[in-house]
Amino acid sequence: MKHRLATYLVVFMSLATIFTSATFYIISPKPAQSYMGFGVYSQRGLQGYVPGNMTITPPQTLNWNLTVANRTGREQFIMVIVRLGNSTTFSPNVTSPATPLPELGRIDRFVSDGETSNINFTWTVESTNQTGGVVFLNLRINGQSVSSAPIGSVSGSNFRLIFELWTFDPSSGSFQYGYPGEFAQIGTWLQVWFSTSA
Amino acid sequence: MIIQPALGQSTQVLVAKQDLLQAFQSIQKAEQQGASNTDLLPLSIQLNTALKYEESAEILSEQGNASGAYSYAVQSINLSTQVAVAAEALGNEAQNSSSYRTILAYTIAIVAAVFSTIAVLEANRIWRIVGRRRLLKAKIEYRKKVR
Repeated sequence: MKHRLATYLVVFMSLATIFTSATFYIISPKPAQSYMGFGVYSQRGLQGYVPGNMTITPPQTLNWNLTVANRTGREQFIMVIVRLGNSTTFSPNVTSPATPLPELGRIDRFVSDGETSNINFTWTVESTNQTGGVVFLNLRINGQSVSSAPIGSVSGSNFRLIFELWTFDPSSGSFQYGYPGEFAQIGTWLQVWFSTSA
Repeated sequence: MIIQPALGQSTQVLVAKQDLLQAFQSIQKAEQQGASNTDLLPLSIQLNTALKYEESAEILSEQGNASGAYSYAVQSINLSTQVAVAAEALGNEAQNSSSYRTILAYTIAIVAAVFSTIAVLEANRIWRIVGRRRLLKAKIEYRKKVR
């Protein structure tokens, strides 16, 4: 009788281990790599990819869309910082933003997990002014007038608009450059080159 | 018309900012508790509206339009509060339902283990019983004697 009970217990424990392990595997959330996608498009959709090194004749208005895809597994409070640079200025990279460059504007948005958010970005090159061969721009970004100074470019060529993605970090209570990766923040940025004709 | 002192109005804008962040954290907490993206998406949309109100309040405050700023800040606070409350409710609901599902899943696993143990160890006896019942149900055919 004792032997029979022991057999029962051993078989039961073995099967219970197998079944509970299978249950744990089934009900556990599947691992997924978290990432945030960042893109800039014109409003004509796929036909209207923003061309590289376009020429703008002031006054000219451009309507673009910034798209932010959130696949981080949680809601994100994002901020896009818009900067102006030229071919000789500092570029952002995967760890640091282009803080030495002046900010032209900021756009805030809450983006749900799994959502791709479209943000309108309307900007106008209203006019240019030339000082000692260097061209400076008078811009209007999302309704607000800004000057490109101190960023200028010789003969108005090789300007670039830089878009940096920042996310809010609740533990520090401030926005951090990039989005939270597995081990550290992952810096994300875009740039569009353009020139101006007088 | 709402008339408030200038200091109070700028305070309202600060409160609106804090409430936005609080609502945002409530949504993140609800996600951790297991609330689905589909349920939380409307809250995120509402939170973006609250953010727009807060930005308008800030712009009006900078322009010196105190009453306009106050009005937008109050709208933002109300919306953020609604979002925070709804997110908390969704989070609690998701956590309860998740606990229930987990308990149910493990209970089923243990019950299955019990039945499987019986099936494995008593297989011989079960087949014997089945065989006996089949035999009892079988019709008896008598052969006619041929002379």
